[in-house]
Amino acid sequence: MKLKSKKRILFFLIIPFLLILVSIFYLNKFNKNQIKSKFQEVTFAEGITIQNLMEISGFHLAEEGEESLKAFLDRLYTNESIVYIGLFKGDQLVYLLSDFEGYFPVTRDQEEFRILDTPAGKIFEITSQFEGNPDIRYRLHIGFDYEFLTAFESAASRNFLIVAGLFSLVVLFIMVLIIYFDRKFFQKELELVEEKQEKERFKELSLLTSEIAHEIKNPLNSIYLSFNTLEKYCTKDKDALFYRDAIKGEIKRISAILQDYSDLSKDIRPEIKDLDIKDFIDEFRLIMEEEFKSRDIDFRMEKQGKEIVRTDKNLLKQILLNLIKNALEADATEITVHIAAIEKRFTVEINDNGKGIDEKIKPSIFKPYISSKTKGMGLGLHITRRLVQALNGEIELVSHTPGNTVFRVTLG
Amino acid sequence: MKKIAITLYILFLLSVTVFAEQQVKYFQVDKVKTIRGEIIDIKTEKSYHKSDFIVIYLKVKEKTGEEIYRVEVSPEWFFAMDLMKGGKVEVTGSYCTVDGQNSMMTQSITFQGEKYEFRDKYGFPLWRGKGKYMKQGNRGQGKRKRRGRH
Repeated sequence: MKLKSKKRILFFLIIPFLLILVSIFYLNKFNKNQIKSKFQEVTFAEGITIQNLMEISGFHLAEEGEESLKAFLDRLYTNESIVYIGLFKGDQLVYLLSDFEGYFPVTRDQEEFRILDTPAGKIFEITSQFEGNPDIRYRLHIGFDYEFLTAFESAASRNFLIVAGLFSLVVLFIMVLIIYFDRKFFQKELELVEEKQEKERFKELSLLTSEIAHEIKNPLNSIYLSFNTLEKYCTKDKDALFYRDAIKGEIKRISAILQDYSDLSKDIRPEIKDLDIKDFIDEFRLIMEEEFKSRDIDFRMEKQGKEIVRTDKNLLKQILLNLIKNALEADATEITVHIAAIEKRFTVEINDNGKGIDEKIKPSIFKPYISSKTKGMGLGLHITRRLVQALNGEIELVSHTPGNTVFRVTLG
Repeated sequence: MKKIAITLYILFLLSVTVFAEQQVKYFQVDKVKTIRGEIIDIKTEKSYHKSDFIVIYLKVKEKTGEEIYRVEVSPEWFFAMDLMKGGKVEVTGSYCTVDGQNSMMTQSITFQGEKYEFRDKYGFPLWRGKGKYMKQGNRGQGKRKRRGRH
């Protein structure tokens, strides 16, 4: 059940969440590249304009003389975005203005536009060429600070992280909600279905076992009757009497087990009638008197509230007998039955001082074949619950500690 | 003949002057070399953008005889070596001539077995830049104040 639930969470929540996260990541990357490429396009377009201007200005200034050209470059260098200007005359660098004390990323290639990755960050370089007088070829390299692109990339990554983080939080919140509602509703429904299936399986098994029980009952009756006949010939020898009682006891035990199995498949049809609680208690005491006396059990029955209730007397008696039997099997020496009929609420509480019920089996105490005792088949409490349910009631284990075991039966 | 000789001498001087004017000091990767010598002077001189630079004058023995090198190191604030006159150092840097004088733009200095770095292999100054290059200053620190021809 747990594994199924984990798989469901994995397939329907975690995997889609990761897929969405990966999609956002690639979408962000794609978007970033698109903007970056547009930026470069715009920069290159501006670069062409600057290049043309420099070629025209450079030509005229070179005509005036190299000093005029250098003076113009000095003025140009005051521009914040320019990080260096290098002027070549032929292959010789004749003038350099650089933000980086002697550092000039000069290369032999004659590319007109370059984006350089330097330790100082990205630099966009424009190369312009013009001729001076007389026939002197100048090459001018102007480096522009292109760090804003890196800043933009960092900002985009930061924004992505914020969006992804927020998205993760929202998804996690939704996941928690889904898991909560899943546990609350969906799982409960599954449990009900499973319980239903279990009941059906149990019903089939009960039918089979009751048939077997029926088949065994007849030969067992014959054994019992034959044994009764044989008893007349029995000597008064002590050992013989001991074995006689042991055999009779075991036959009774087999008979009781068979009765339990027969009861499993029977439909319970309650006959609801008025029941005088006082009469019921007196009658029940009378039935149990001998049993409790022989076992030296301190048995008490108390009542509270109304005198008359509407219920099935025989089923109620059977419920009490089963729970008392359960207490006796747990070696109880004191048993108290408290019957209360207050307003519409009719409850019966059975309290005993037996050895209690193991914590491990507590959740499945009413399921068939569950028992911490060596005696019995673990059907007693299951049958009791069926009887209670037939009366539209509920049974619960209120306390299971040694010395204080309490079952409460609430009838509608 | 004398006139021709004088004319040739003047032409030679002019050519040297023109050549000297065309010399621009910048870190050239293909001119990186290592020299060893004795410190004869340590000075602070105005250099790029008029900032105070530590400049060491080294006496270097070469095949042709003893040569004096002007070794440009770093801005004063970045320099943290305990050098003294007479000390022996090994300098790796880009060679150039400034006004006809042998000059070095320092990449690293080895002194008493310890190596001090000032520029990366491309000549980028370590007192500028970002990340691992960040020391006291950073890229663009005082950039506008230091503008000017060098």
